[in-house]
Amino acid sequence: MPVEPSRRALLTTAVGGAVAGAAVVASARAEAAAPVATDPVLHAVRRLSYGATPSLVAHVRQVGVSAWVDQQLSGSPDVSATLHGTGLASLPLPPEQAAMAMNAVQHYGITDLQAQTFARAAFGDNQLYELLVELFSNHLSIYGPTFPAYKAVDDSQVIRKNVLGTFADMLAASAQSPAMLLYLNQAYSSGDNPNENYARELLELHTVGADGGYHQRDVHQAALTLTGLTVEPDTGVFQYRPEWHHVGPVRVMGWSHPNADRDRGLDVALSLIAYLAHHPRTAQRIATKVVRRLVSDSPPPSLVASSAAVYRANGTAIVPVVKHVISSREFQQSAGQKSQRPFEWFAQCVRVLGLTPSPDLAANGGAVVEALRELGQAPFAWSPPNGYPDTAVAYASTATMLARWNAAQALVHGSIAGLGKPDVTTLLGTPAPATAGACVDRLALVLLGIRPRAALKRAVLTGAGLTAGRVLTPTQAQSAALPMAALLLSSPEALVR
Amino acid sequence: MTPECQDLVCTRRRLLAGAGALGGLGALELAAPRMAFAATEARTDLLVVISLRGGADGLSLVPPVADADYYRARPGIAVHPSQALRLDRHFGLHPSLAPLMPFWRSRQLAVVHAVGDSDGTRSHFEATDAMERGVNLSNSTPTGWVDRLMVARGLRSGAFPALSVGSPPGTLRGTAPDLSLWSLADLRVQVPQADTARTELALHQMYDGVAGANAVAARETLDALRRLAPLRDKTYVPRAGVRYPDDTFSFGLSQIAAVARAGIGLQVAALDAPGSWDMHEGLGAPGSGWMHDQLGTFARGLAAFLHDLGPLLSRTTVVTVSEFGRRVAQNGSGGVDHGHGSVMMVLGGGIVGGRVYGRWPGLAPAQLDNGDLRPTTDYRDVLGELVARRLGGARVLKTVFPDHRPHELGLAR
Repeated sequence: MPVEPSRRALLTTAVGGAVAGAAVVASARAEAAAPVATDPVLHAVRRLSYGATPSLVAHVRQVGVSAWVDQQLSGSPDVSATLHGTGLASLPLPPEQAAMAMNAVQHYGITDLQAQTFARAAFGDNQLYELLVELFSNHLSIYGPTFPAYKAVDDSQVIRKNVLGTFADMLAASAQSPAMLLYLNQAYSSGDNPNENYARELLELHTVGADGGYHQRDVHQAALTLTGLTVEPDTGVFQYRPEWHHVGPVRVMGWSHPNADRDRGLDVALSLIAYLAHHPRTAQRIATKVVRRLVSDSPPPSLVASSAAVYRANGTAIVPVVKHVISSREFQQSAGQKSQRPFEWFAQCVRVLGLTPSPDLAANGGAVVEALRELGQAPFAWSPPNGYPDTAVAYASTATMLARWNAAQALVHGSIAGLGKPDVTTLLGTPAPATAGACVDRLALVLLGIRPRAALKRAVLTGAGLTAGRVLTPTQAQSAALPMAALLLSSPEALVR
Repeated sequence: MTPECQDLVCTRRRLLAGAGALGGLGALELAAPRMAFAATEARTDLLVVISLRGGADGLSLVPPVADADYYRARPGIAVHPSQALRLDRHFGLHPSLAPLMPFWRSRQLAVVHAVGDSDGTRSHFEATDAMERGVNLSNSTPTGWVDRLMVARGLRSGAFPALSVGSPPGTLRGTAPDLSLWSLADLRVQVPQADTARTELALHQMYDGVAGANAVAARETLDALRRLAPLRDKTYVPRAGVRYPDDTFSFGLSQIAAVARAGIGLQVAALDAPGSWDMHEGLGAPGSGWMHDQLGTFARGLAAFLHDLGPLLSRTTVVTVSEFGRRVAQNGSGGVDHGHGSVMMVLGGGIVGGRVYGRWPGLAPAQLDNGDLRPTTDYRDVLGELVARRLGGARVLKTVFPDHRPHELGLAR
């Protein structure tokens, strides 16, 4: 991103955009969906980032959505830049240190990786990249706390390395990732005693899907095909053990192999993996997930079909599918069709409040992770292999709602260690708004990018104990801004993605 | 998972951490109890549904101690007759379930063996989803069977609709309103006391008239904040002599007991049994290890809960469910892969207990269902009888279980 213009100039731009583009849809009488601003830039930034800050919205307004998307998906982003100043930058484990990591497994907690992941989402410039990392990390979901060091290697070598490449490469890397092989019990599966867990989830979750047309026999054959893929016990790196490999003809769905040579068993397994990655049902599933992530909880079938075709035409490459979806009419018309899940909602709050990581976020990462856990969506903390759900209804419980309201209070009051306090003067601008009503307007614009509907404005004033016309000194405005901000971040508008 | 906290203050964190540690099992749910209130016909039981997520190995929970094929298939992990708590000539209980034996002897605990669904999918996700909806896999009905029961029985307006601790299980998905929470004590918006009322009013105003699942959850939360404040502000004291163990599952049960004993009309509660039952690897011997430890946690917590209910147990029905059982033969990792038939346990004052129900299909190779224990009883036979006889749903069975007409086993009075 270019050097940021002053916040004030940005806000002026954002106001113009929001007012010009915002057809705020709300009805005081009939039940209405949460009011949505239909400004296309605001929509795109909300949907493709972890929080539409005024500066990011202004930047995208300037360069255009597609140029910004191109920039976000070009090359390998410098992800470490995000982490400098947090104490988190030194934590990623290069692959050659996996062995050491295994030996030191007690010394590497999953909290480090969770805090890093959050820091990249909340403070990094590679917003869309991080969003795709999360999507595919969740597709090849691994519960992190059991083998945290292995998951750290998996994060960099399977997901981040391949998310701008092909799904076939990612899946092959995943099949050789100690974290996955241990998580799904592949590491101790042998021809004599095959363990079907990984083979089943490879078919059901990672590729063709439960309705993909396979049967128990295919699961068993896949398990036999994959025998020998394991983890070297002393070094903790991937190993192929020929003596554990089942030899003899194998057939899984439309794929078969004579599989006659024990020493070539890894090639046979990777041949199956490649077959599955390219399978039309896999294309359909990956397309569905991308569309569900970027467009709607109910993916439009026509967009899924065209996205699956793009997946297949590009040899399972991920970026073309993502760009196809973003450039679609369905994407542009989908404002308000996605809700903020707890993780992205929390990151959004941090971003729009302008919070900055304290220099010791690494030491205090536990507080951030704890907050995410209470919200029900800490990274790598979903235990089943199907990953966190990507629909609003899955998070629409009263426990989660209450956790959001309390997290908003904690963020606004700066009580989560590692995240600092909001700068109220900047949030209110200079000069500070002269009335309580103007304070709400200003904060709604900065925090949510919109002008508040009447009922929202009235509610926030109720919560602050003020009337709209109440004249405030700058000091009074600053103290009123905290409860106002917490309520705005607790509102239905703050849940729209 | 290692316990990190010793006191209840930390319990919510452990709840969430514990939910994360379930390892390889199905569905969206986190490990926490969930309760539903509604206006109820007089004299229907409180239903407590305990989910053993991940596919519990019925052959370990209730080993067929007289079946030689069982011991042939499980050379390393079988429960031997001398280790089992004898139930009858054919079956025993896993030794870790000893805390439940008093309820067996008082005929308040019944076991149904070789029970399962009619689909036989070995997918956690499909099996859990269909079982929670109470329908066959091919039926796309979106609501849970407990939700349909509550709605069909009739919800009285003005009654507190629903309460839960944790994320909602699929059994309650649907139109009957419900509340989830992590613990009663945490049911508050954390603002200074003086600001509480106007903060809650502000939240009410901003969600009023807004559509969508989040707005519904927001309004239910505010409703619950209002109605449950009296319970929240009191420290729960279990019945004299009852002490809940210090773990997530037991804490959840204590929250259910607190609400049940408050007499405010709790109808349904659901929660997850501790840990993951997806034991592909290292199930362990009867005297130690994964199954031993986890079943012990389950049994100690459940026994404390049943004792805590006291006289209320006469109007309470507790049932365990799991999406499937495990393969009869153990695998190369000292575990068991996904299978089909499993067991259900039913407890309560209205249960004809002290008996193992169901027809035993045998475990000889020719008797197996694709390597699995063959289900001879549909899980809806068990639930259906409870619905009809204990839960005031005799006339709405077809709504609750549209794909299966339950055959009664005679386990409920």
